[in-house]
Amino acid sequence: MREGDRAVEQAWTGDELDRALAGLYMDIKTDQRGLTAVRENLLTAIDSQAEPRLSLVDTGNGRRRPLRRWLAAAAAVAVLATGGVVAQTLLFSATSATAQAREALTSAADLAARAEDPVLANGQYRYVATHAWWLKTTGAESRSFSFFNENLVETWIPADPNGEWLLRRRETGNRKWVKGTEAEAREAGVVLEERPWPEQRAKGGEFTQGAPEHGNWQFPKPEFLAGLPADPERLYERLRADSGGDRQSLVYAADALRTGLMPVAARANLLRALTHVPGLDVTDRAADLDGHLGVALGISEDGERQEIILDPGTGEVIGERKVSDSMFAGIPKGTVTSYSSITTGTVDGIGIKPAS
Amino acid sequence: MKTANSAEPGEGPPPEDDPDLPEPPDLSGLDLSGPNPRSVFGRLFDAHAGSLHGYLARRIGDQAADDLVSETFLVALQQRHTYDPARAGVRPWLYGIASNLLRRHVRQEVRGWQARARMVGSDRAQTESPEVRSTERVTAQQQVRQLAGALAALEPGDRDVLLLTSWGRLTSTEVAQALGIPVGTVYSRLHRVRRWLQSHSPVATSGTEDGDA
Repeated sequence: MREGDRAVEQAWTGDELDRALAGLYMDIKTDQRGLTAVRENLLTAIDSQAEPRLSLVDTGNGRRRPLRRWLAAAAAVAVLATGGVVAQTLLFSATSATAQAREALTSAADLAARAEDPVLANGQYRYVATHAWWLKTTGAESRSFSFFNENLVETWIPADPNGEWLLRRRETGNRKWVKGTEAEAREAGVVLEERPWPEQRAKGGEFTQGAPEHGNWQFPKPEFLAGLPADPERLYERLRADSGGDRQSLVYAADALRTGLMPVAARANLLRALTHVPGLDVTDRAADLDGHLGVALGISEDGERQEIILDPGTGEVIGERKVSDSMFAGIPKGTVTSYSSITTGTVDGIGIKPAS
Repeated sequence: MKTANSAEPGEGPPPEDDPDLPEPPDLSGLDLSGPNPRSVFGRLFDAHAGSLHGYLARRIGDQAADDLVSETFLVALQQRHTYDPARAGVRPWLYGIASNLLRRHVRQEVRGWQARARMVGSDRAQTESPEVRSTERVTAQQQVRQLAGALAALEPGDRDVLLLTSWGRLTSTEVAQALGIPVGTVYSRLHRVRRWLQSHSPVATSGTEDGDA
């Protein structure tokens, strides 16, 4: 938090803190199905007063996993000191993407490198649209509602990138309810609609004031791209340094790829750089984005998997997904928590949509 | 972009004074080291496993909570002969065992809080175009995110005291029993942590987010 922001911050009262704490993930206690199996195992341990069988515990919701730490705890209290270590060894340390992911990325990079950059005639625009389904939660205290909210973000980029750009963003009104219903939310007084986003026009695409002058991963201007290493491994090192690494490497790469501002050579190189992301794996060979199928490459961190989706036919990034990788806050493992699909095209004027 | 930041989404109704957590039955008269551990521990489990699981799940997610609950009761089973009802109620005793076990997962817990701090509010920031990143609105989610971030920054001992009180619903005396620290220490830690959170958790009401870019 920068100093300038502190002035507008308010301190919470004790009551406000209590309410915020009480509301924080209070709904998580709802999933206690695993306890039935835990109880059975406790009683088994009592009955045998010996080591429980080495078996899989079925926690009642389809999860089966070895009882490693059960054994560690049950064998003797002394073993507790090492119990954590037993669990930790399940983690592995990879030094690059998996073979499948490397193959998918290399193939996409080869395709991307052979593609041609779209050539815009004077007066033409590059059109980039993102259909994004973001999970939105409102009413965080005693009752919360969650739904996927479809947003459409459209950008028109002029043939001369220093010319005027156009950005439109709106909610489409399409919602998929995850927790609660629309009727219940309205009943509780929740306002679902966001304020309309005003259309933005800006020379050179400078919609945000204070953005780095020479661009960044989120706005890869030519001078930014020119400063990136050509060697894929060094490019990965740069990406890691800029993003903070791990999952964020993939987020930053996707940021750049989705802008529509990366020439084919830079795109191909960035895909090759991703072959060095540790633990990156092919997570879905048929990821469905609004009916468009692609290959998902993902990396898991902190209970969440970040994925980019490649079109194996063109090597283009056609979307992104986030998938819950652990049961948390009532969201089952494997749930897609957000996804977006990207389409691009060339149009003859600002604000005009390509024929679909 | 300040105009876009002033929007406030609908708030839920105010929280009830007494959430739907029933008071656990008082099992302090149970003879834990008696001849029928199956019956005793069955009752102990039925009385406390649910609320203990809820507490642990909020801290480290409910899959890990399954494991920690089972470990807690197994350790309790192992240590039942040394349990002294004069020194601690059975509930603080169980929460104390769980707190000790949880210490092995401090790093995991902190990473979890940090992830949640990023995840909730930055959900859109990470997926949408950079132009709109700085227009992220102040939402209830951001409040959750700020609080999660603040919790991640606490010392483990401070976090235990705070969350055993707020989520575990232990009294200060019980927290002291659970953690094996003087009750005066519980009071002073709680006071210090609450003051710190009160000034570090609230979201800014205008200005831009720190952002992920």
